[in-house]
Amino acid sequence: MTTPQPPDSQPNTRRDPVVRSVYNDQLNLAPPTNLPFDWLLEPPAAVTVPLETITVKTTGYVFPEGAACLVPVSQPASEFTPPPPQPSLAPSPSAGHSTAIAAETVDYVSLNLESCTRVRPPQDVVKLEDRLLYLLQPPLERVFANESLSFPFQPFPYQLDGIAFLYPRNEAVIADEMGLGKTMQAIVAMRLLAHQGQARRILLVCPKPLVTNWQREIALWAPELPVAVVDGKQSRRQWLWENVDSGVLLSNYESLLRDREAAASAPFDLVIIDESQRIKNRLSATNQAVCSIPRRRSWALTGTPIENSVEDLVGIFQFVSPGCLRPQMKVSTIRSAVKDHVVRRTKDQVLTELPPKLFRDADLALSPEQQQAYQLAEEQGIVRLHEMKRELTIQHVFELVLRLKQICNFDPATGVSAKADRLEADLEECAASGRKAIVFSQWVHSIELLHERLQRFGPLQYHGKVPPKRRDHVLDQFRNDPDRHVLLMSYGAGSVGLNLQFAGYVFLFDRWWNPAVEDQAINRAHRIGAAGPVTVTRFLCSGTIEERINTVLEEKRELFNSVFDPASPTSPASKLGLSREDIFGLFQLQFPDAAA
Amino acid sequence: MASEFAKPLSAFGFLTALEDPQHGFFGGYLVLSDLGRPLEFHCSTPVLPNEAQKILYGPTLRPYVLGEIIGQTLVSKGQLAVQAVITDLDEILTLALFRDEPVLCLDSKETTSADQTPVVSAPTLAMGDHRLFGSSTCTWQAEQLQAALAPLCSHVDLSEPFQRIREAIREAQRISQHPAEQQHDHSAAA
Repeated sequence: MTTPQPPDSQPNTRRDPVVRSVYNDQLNLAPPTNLPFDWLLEPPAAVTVPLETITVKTTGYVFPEGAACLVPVSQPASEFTPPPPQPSLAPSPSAGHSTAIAAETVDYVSLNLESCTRVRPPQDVVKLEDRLLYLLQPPLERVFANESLSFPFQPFPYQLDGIAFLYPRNEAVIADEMGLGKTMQAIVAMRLLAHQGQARRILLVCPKPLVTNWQREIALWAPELPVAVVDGKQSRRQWLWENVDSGVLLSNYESLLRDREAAASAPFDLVIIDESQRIKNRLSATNQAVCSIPRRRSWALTGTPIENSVEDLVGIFQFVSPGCLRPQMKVSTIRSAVKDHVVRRTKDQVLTELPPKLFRDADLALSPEQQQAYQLAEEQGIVRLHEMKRELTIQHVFELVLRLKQICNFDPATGVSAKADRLEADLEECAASGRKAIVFSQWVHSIELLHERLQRFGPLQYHGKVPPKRRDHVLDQFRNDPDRHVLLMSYGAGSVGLNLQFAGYVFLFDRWWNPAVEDQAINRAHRIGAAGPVTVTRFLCSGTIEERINTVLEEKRELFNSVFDPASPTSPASKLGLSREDIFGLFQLQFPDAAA
Repeated sequence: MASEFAKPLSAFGFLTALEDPQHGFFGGYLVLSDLGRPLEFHCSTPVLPNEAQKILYGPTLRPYVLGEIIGQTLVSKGQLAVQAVITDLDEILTLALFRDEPVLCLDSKETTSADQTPVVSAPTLAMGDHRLFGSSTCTWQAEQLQAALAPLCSHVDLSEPFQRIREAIREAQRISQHPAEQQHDHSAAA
């Protein structure tokens, strides 16, 4: 641009005769002759302001689907061939391996198109073109509608967010609190990938008791997906691993471990592991079997990504994103490293309409018989531990803890139990109101004693001694028989994956070693679909080992929050889990090495 | 460029711009299939008119920059022929003077303020909950366009693609201005 000059520095065009002459010539004007004044006005001062041409630089991409539409002009438009349809996972006639579980009769609905859930690119997608392709996709609701995919129920908005989180990710963990619908989110994301031809061969690994639950859920949320359960004789399993090249292979961890070589023989487009805390020990055979499966996408589902220490997360990430986490990493480093891979929502955050969960801590005094047995066992036990000196191991201390906890449940000589008395009284109220209760215990023996004692409430048992084939029947009875008011469950068999939201009461007859497993247990009842508030009663015998363990459990809760809730202060490493020192500390014992 | 290729079965252009007080106007042009899937995308570097242009173009500055400069550049970069170009900014309608495709503006609360009422003589057409209008000089036939847009409208809420474009423009700007940040994000995740 030309900078305007001050008036004095410009040529005086009005006075300059040469300029004046040119001016007249160019305008082709002849001066009138009869005017009493010089008609030719002095030309005004002029400033030249050249306008720069605005140039625009652009960045652009033709995406794969658009590139398929580009047809050279030599080809007549009428001969345009549309892009090939997306591959479908509809069961092929040869898919005779499918194990179908019919969904309950439900009216399927389309998603509400007024909401708008967007798929966002994961951080590890670096190329701008790829990131834009994610951002420019239609909202998830439209994608489902355009694929003509309908659902048995309208998902909650946070569930659609979870699906939008999983869909673009090769490495993802859904760590929602129990009861928020991780199963459904994984199935719907899997369904979408299958419909778009991005996932053809899928492996789903879950604990054995949950296999039928997964079959049922897949039949409900993705009825068109063929499912083959890896079970039965070795020859049948081998055939399934080697020949099922589309649809969902559903295996439990034990089968996978047995068939690890066959399972790793061909790659999967997607591997989902449910209750992924099962592979928290990165040196375990299960972890190594799961990690050895060749795969393009790795998704893990867990409500309790950290049960004991942050090392649990390292084990899970060995499957999800190998190399992302290393042992001994700082909590703050882990938090930032997993941020883009993990989604975790709690009920408080997303289910504001879920009925409340009411906690009652039943602090009980031991009965005189129990008190006597407890004191004797503790005194003798501690004396024995002290006598062992350098031969003392953690196993010896554990044995004493277990012994004392069992006495807190029942007096071994008489069978008297303060907890059972209280439970019986509470169940009276529960049964009278026509409601159902779940009672959790660590020991099958305690469950069997309770079973005898609670006969008038129609108790059912669900634990490791109940054959897996009978377990679904037990749950059906509990769900449908109005005279069955109580389900007695062990933490090991019944704390994960089951939907028992029709139960309004949960009793923790004794306490587990970590709060995550207790939460899992509680959330069998307190989950989506719960009709009313869930009352959780935690039995605790005061002045006993149970009280001391409870203190350690509270510290574990702090640890969990320090990784998944940035607002919480970081817990010091000394508070991680139930350490050796913690266990010895229950009896004011010192670990032999430390003492030496 | 689009002329080098035959017209695809059904593709529609969506054109809009973001205004940033510091950097000026960023344009974005998205071509969608009738199912609403992205086929092609182009975005511009920011265009910031200088003071002289602001003074000299006066009230015609925005139509000039948005329609004539940014809109024309972006649409001409498109490789796929489109059945229509839809915008949510009525200033972009000036693009119709330079292009053969019909150019329509989505009549929404954002675009229709008291002083920006669509020209009364402009042709309009109703598509579901939306109303579209053209420039006063446009020559398109409402019935034909309505038929052409019908498949798109059954799969896409016409105001929604503009959200995608704005997000994509922001992303493109973020990456181009902070490539190190993206690299950092990636290394943190790895």
